Amino acid sequence: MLEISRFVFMRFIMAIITLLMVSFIVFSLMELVPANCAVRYLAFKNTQGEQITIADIKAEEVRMGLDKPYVVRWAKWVTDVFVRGDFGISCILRVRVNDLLGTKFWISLGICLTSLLLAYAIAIPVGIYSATTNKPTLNNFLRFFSYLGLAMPNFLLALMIMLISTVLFGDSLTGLFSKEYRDAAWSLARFGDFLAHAWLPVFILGWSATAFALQTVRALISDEYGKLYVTAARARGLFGRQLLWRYPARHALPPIINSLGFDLNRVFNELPIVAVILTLTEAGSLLLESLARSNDQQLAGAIIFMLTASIVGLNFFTDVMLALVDPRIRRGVMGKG
Amino acid sequence: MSRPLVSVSDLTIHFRTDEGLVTAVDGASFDLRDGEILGLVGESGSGKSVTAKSLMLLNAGNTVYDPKSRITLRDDHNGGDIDVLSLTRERDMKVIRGGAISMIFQEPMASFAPAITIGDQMVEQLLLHTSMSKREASVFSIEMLQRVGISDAPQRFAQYAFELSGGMRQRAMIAMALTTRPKLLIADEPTTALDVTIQAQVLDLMRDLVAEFGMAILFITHDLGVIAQTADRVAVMYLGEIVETGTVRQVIRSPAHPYTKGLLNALPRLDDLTSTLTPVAGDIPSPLERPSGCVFHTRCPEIIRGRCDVEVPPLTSLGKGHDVSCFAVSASKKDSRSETPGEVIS
Amino acid sequence: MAETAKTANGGAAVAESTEIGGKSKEAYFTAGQYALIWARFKMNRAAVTAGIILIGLIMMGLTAPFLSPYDPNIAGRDAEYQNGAPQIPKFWDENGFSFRPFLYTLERKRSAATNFRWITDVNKDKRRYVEFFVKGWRFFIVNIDLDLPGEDFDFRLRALPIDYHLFGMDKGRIHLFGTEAAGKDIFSRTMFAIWTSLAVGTIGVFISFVLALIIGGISGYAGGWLDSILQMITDAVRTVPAIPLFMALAAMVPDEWSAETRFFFISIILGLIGWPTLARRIRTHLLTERSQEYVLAARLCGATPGHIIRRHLLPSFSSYIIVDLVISFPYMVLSETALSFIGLGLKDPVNSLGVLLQNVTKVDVLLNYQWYFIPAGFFMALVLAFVFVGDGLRDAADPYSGH
Repeated sequence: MLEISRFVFMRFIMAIITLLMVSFIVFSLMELVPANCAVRYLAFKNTQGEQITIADIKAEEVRMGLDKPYVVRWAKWVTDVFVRGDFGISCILRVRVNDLLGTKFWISLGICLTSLLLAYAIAIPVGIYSATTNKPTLNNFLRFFSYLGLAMPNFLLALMIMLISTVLFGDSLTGLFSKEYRDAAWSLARFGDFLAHAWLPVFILGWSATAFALQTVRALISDEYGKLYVTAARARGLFGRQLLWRYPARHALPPIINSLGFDLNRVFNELPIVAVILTLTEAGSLLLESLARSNDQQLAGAIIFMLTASIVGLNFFTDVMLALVDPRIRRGVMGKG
Repeated sequence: MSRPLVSVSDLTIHFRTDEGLVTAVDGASFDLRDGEILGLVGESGSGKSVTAKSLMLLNAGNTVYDPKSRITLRDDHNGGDIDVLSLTRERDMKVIRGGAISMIFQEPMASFAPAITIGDQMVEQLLLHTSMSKREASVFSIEMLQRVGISDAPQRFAQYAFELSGGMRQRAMIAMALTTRPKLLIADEPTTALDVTIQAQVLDLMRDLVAEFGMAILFITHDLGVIAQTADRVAVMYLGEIVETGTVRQVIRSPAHPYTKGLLNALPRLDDLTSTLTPVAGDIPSPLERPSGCVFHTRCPEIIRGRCDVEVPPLTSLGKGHDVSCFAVSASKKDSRSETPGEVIS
Repeated sequence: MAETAKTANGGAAVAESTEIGGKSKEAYFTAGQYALIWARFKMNRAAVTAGIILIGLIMMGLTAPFLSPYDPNIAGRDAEYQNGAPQIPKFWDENGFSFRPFLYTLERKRSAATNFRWITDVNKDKRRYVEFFVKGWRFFIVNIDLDLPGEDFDFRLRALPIDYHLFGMDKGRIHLFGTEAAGKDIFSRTMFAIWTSLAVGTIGVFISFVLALIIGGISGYAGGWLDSILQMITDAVRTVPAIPLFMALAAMVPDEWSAETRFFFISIILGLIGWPTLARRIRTHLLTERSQEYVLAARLCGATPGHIIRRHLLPSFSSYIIVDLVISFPYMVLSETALSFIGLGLKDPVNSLGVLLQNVTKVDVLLNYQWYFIPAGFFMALVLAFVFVGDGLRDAADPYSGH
């Protein structure tokens, strides 16, 4: 018990350190961007017709605390984020970033996680099955599907679907909400409407995730299947599903679970493009619209940090899960001969 | 008791590969009797593992068994014989896998599943082959662990393979193989990965168990020394063919086949530390290029040109169960028996 | 007598065994590493086919100026044929057979019959023939246009013109893949787009390779605490999702930057984002190899670290590195295409496959101008070709796979 607690604690510390480093990177990038928050805000005011002078900019900087040294500002940002979950005020709109993001982040995260879970739910059984049977037609089909999933990026798939649905059905499957629910408060009906629309991005995102996961599962299971302990188990009379699940599958799965964090990273990379094609952003319902169009580094920094934090969080979660299942850690033999 | 436990006749095994059909074993025949330790000796690539695995149908999916091959297992439960090669469904193979025949492997660490306890794996096997309850199986397994000389057996029962030392793992593997009281234990290079002291312990253990259980052992190895200590009979394999069989005494004291002679000559001699080593000349040919006639003729110092490279020598008996397939031996036998000098068959 | 026969035969037996297939065996055992990899690669039909396609596409990109009948930018647009469908030359119609491929002439007519509205009519009697090695628009290989602050420092250099192109028409124009909304020839744009995507990908791969080599190399060779720190940094960078990060950065880029500057900026950013994966691989290779016994043996023989690295370590995983490079290429192309597609990467007039696909989401395009999708096919072929070749190389280079 003690060993596990120690392990979890260590992993937690590592996660925090990683987040700190990420926050450093993100914050530095926010700083490196030409035109700091004060300048942007006043430039924005300028376009609205107000006259701005250099003195105004300087005054604004002082007011926003931008004249303090880098480290001080970083420390403040980090403490605000970590302790209070507060990402500060957006540069241009002067609204709290948390309010701007609202539920948008959670919707995006929900879509991504769902597509990942779906991908694994399909890939694991199919991958195990295909790695153990020798039917060449199934193997070739699956190989073709994997390559297709790899080469046809999600946005192309989305385009194809849009093309087909527009040409054939004259209807475009766009948006995350129907008109009635777009700005309504959350309710069961709104959630149902959301689900009815969300299946398409989940499907598209899951497409390449499934292809990847399938390939990985097949390779891992094939590897395990050739190992001596499986032959030894067969030599003891085990066969069929019992053999499969207790031996190669059980031992091949940990690396697959391990890769969940990395997969989330990939899905986060694919989400913006798919969102653009399916115009999931038209109602501002996804945060990436804010990311690309707003030109606001406070907002952008917050979004990037949250995305990365989700990945780090997922990694931490999978690490702990795997540790609980791995007997080597349970016995606390880490470091013992 | 007079019928052999396992009878292998004309076993011929091919593998389907990208380069075509490769012959791994050609016309191997031998018998195994109860309580007998038969050593199967040969260098790597000789087909000894493939032969042994075919007794349990453990070879890979691209294996093709030639129709003239026959492997027969005596069925003591129902009387009669089991035709091993005719079993196609895995559920029917229980008797040859873990039932009447068990196998232990060269690498004990690799033969235990890493993330399942030793005890779980042993109990699983018992539940599959016997009608014991889980509790009975656990008790029995712990007893078995004690029998093979593992101290603290109840503790070890609940441990994982990586928590045991090398020698203990080997013993545990033997214990697991014996829980179902098999009639035949196939040992595939069980001592090759062990250091000498543990090797001796394991060999002693195996001999004791044979005496106690009355089971036979098919001992596969390339180490003639181990065979000399442990086995009753030995069969020498080269490139998929059995070239010589006999009792250990016969084959090691008076080897008949040039290959056996070469193997024995290649052993370093402790009493003469300055003499040079004399390996068997040449290299083992690739299985894709099996030599015509006698498979050994390409490296044979006693080759009879025109005969050995053309015809396959039949198995001839040298008396008292000592068989060899070699023209040179038969020739010199005839030669020594014939009265007329110069009548050499060449 | 039997004894002398034995030794004579013994000698003969030994000689014979080395004679059998002597030459080819020797060739196999002494072949260099790359020769072996090439031989195994050749056996993989899918990979070889992909390789041929890949080389074809690369050649298309490299000779884009020669292949394109018209300037892909605004200067070369065909104002009379906007959003025009692809024109495939024919060899034969009702009027007879012709060795030279031809097209019909489109004429704008109006008459009482059409209510005095301009309509475009196809005149099947007036043929226009395709010509080869046509003198057409002028393309400069060296085309530098530096727009520095202040008028005095502007620098323009144009050299090495190409005037001749593979094909063109004797009268009018030919648009093999059709035209887009402004009348720009999609075929020419596709050719140049292949070139741009390849160029961006190459620069990106190069930059990430150099970075990965340095960081991964130090990490793997030094080991210990330096390795741990570098690894933590690498992991932190790797965790940040690239496209959202890039979106944020690209949105901040001022619009005044020229197309060329954007081009380099995009490539550099892609390289900076791509190095962690490659660095990790290099580090893993180095860590495993440096504790191998042959390295220890070399050190005990007195070899210097430089010698060890050059002659022992590098060749042992240079094939893996090459494979890694080939495999990371399509990701670069994919990333750039994705970014350009949403308008944050390259912009007009620089052509890339992503830019070409920018207008594809509009509904009227989807309904009416499906030929806009043709570049997508090229793009998929490029990525697939890279993937197959990379996989084939990886299987061929790994001595433990398959055979």
